[in-house]
Amino acid sequence: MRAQLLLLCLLFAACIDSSQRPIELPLRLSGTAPAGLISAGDWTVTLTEARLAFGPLYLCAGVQAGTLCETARAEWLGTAVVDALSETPIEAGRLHGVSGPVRSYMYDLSIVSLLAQQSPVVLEAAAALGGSSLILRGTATRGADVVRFGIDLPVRQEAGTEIGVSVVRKSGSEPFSHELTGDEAGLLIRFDASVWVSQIDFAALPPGPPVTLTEGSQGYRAIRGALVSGTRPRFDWQ
Amino acid sequence: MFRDAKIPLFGLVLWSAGCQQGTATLSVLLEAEDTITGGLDAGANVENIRDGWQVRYQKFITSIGNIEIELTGGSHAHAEKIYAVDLTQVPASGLPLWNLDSLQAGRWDFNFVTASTKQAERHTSVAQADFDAMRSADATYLISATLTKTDGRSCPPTALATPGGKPQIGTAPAGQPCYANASIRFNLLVPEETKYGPCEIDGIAGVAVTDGGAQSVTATIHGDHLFFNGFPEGDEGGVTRLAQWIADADLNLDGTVTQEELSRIAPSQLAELDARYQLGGSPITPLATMWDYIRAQLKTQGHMNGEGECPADGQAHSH
Repeated sequence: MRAQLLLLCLLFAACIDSSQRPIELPLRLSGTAPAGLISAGDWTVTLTEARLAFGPLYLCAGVQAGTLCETARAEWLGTAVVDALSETPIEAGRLHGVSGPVRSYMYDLSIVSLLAQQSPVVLEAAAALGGSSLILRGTATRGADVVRFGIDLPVRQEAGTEIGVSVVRKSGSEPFSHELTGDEAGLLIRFDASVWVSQIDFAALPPGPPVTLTEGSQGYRAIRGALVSGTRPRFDWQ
Repeated sequence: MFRDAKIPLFGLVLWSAGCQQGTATLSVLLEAEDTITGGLDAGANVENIRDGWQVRYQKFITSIGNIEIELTGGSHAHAEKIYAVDLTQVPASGLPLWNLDSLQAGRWDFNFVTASTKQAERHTSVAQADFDAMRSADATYLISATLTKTDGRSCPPTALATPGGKPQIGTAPAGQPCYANASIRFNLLVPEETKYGPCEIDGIAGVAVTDGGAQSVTATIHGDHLFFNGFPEGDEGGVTRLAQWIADADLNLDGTVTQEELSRIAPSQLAELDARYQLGGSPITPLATMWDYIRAQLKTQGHMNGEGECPADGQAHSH
């Protein structure tokens, strides 16, 4: 009889549901440093403006986001403008989801590609930046050489790229793993504007009036590349 | 009745949970996409190189193996052998290299790796000299290819180009000088070990085996990802295949693109990598050089049964 009870207990133990529970926690966004001296080769860069339109954000259970993440573990469907030159976090909104491991993420920069739409949709934060994902203004100096530059950059999927997929997905070379419990005080994502300008060829830009980096220029490609395939923002679980 | 049972009940439960042997057999084949065996043609169709270049592979050697399958409920099986194989010589029906037997019936997750050649056994399709070179370089791949285009030209980044006495024949839209270069070769030894899996196809994981049955599954290597305009997942029909950036990486215009040249070029220095490219899904970040780009694209080439998706470098398999 005791043996039968033991077997019954073992069977029930095997069937206990490790259930997920709904979670909701604050999402905060910030820059990493105030405007300061950034090294870009032998140039020194000072940024006076670096505003980024961020969102939506999806956190995924699997190691690879994108189409392999059809259902997010947690998500924030809003957008917000973050001042990348300020270390003071802003309250962007709340992540909603269920408890469990998250091993990857994907996000847009406030211009989203939808399968049911012919053109990407400009969301609120990018609309506040005039249709751009990033507005950057600064000065680069090398000795007596001074270059003033700026860019208004939309980052989006194009007709010949991956429709319906977020523009940025966690890479395999990034460490990212967290057990989402809902007991966290929040998630803080920090953006470092210095990585966006470090590959600009300032020697190719003329001194004098501010230069607008336009599509087709090396500087435009450098900033766009840094945003989508450069060093990623830092995710700090609080 | 159970009071006198000699076998501890918890042991019985453990045994039934994962230690049973079955009668099924799984044959694992290595398959080369026809972009490797047949190359890529220039043209306007989805599968063509859209900017006019034709690609032919002379060698596409990959060290591949360490097959791991896992049954829901915990049973594992392995075929650990790694082979260096020239995929240009793999038959269209696939090359059977691994066998797993005594398997329980059920659906098994499927995983494999592309590895350092130092761990590999040389397949007869690979010359000893190539095998030795791969081992010396700790390479996963040795890829030799030729790109041709009747009116082909190279337009390398001005700050990096060393054209010597070659005459300029034109100017690229971005403004850099262009030079005649109708045939571009590369012969690259690439270290890029990658773990693929668990693989799925059309949302269904792995492979199913039945009692007493003999099933097969293929580890498929694609050959066109170096020419993708990004890092797509799932449907590769949304990508555009382009090759001009490789021609523009020939900095000294000798008709050969080398690892050294690729390592000197930042993606932003190639005007060809414009809005047609979406690199936000790269498996390697930051993408600092075009050598990083080559390595990143090779990381995406492992598939199952043709087009089945295999996450790259996922969680380590553990017992």
